[in-house]
Amino acid sequence: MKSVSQVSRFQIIPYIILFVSILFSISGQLLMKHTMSNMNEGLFTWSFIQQLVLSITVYCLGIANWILALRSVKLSIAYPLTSLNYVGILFGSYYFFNEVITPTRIAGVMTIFLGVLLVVIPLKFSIVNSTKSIDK
Amino acid sequence: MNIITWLLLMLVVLLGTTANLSLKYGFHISSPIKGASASIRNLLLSRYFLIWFICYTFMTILWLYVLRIIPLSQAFPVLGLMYALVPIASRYVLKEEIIFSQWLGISVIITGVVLVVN
Repeated sequence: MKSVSQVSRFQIIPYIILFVSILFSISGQLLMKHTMSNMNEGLFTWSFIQQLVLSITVYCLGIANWILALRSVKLSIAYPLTSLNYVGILFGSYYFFNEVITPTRIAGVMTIFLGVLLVVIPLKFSIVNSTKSIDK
Repeated sequence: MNIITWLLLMLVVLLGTTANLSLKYGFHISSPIKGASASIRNLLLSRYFLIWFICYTFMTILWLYVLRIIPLSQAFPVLGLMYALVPIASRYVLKEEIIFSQWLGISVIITGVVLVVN
């Protein structure tokens, strides 16, 4: 019983870190876009630097969490989950920046998503092996 | 004018591929036998981490420049090309195997990127 709970805790926390990292990078990207499209007054105004620092900090938090998650989650699991970014970015750029989302673009994002799954799923055999070694 | 921006976006993709690959290679080399914290320290001191850091910094600067011109909903999916380039590169550098369905996936990704860019 004890070993079961240990195993499940071992697996869940890195996944939480992974999802936090995805959330941070989506917000970081949206903030970056916001910052860059608002820089009318010039490159070195105080408000621009503030916004840039904020957006890059949020993005860096995403990267730090990504490294932490990658330490224990296999790249072949972690990578497809980051494609949740596409969904977040698509919605975000529609709601916040009023970008035109054409059906072609949605189809393209779907196609990319499908391709990512195709690239990643065959690697699942090595995941089975690694959980076996954790159980041991 | 616009072509240069798209070329810069391609450069972002290439830098991202290099960054991820060297990070993975760094983990590969400093892979833990017992303590995981020791391996993180080894990684932070290794040159692969430095490569990752430099690539990521340049990539972020270029990315910020690209974002000024290209809409986010169009530029971000192009980053998905990394999903196609990373397996190809890890085949040659990390000696990982690529099977047929992955080649199929890589070509599907490229098709999707073409659709988004249009």
